[in-house]
Amino acid sequence: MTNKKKKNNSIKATIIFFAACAAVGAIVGFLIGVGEDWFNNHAVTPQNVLESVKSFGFQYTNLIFVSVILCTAVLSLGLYFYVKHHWKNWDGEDEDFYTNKIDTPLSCALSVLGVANIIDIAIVGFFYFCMPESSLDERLKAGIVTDLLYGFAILFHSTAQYVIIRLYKKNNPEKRGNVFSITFEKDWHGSLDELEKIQLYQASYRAYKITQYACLIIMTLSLPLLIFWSEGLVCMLTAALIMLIMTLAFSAQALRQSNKNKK
Amino acid sequence: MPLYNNLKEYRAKLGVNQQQMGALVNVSRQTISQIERGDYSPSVTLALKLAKVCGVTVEDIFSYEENENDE
Repeated sequence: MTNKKKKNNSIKATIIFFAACAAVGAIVGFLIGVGEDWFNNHAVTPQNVLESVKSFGFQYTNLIFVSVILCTAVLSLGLYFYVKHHWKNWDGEDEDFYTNKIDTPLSCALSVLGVANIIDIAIVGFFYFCMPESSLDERLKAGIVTDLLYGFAILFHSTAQYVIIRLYKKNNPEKRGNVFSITFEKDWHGSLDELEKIQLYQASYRAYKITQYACLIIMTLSLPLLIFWSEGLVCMLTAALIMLIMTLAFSAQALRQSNKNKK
Repeated sequence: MPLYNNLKEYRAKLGVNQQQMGALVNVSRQTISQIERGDYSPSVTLALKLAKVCGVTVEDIFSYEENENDE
């Protein structure tokens, strides 16, 4: 692709981005404008909606939790046994076979477990948010089943991650690190070669950019929450804080790198 | 990508598989595979290591050909 074409594409992408931002802003503005009338006409107040959500959450969170644990188990263990089965048939050279039947399913299994860990924390948080107002003692008693489920989920996910990474290490003997060790990430990073480090840094930069856009969207969507429910402040501040930390960490690393180059 | 290589042939001459070749130059099997397929251009250090292991020069393994479409 020539530089002129690249420049045209970047201008198009910028115009599309700002047009999309304007469209989202217009929709949010319209919804804010007509929202109050719509709620009043349908006899639905923001407080009623919040109460319904809380009531649903308090009754069904544990059931949702069990479903998440079961789905995670079926998906991650299913992929694990799929890889184990195909590992026996691999000739050690066929890269397409390795990518499709071994590497990708193993990465998917690890991603499923990683996402499940985040969902678990979100579910526990949601449950305590939905719990009716009462004393701390009563709240802790009511939440004991959720806490036990959370403990079980963490134990199961860690064990599954350990088993999957052990299989990955069997396929890649040069990899080091124990999942249960606090130095796992350092050990694992130390055993990566130049290509794997490039892939990791590319993925990290992509994640950084996506998180920045996600934070911007969350902050924009928090506005109606603040206006109708007076509840979005924490959400907005958290997104702003994440964005601030990421930007500062990125700038600090860039400065460190440029100072290193000067020496 | 204008970088071509004969790594697969030299590896066959050495009589080692991708995993063993990776272990000889301290990289993963996947990296050796990606280099052989032309999907990854190795660093100068890795190219020199590969040449040393094969007992040839870097130019014997890797060759650069200018692509007419490149500006």
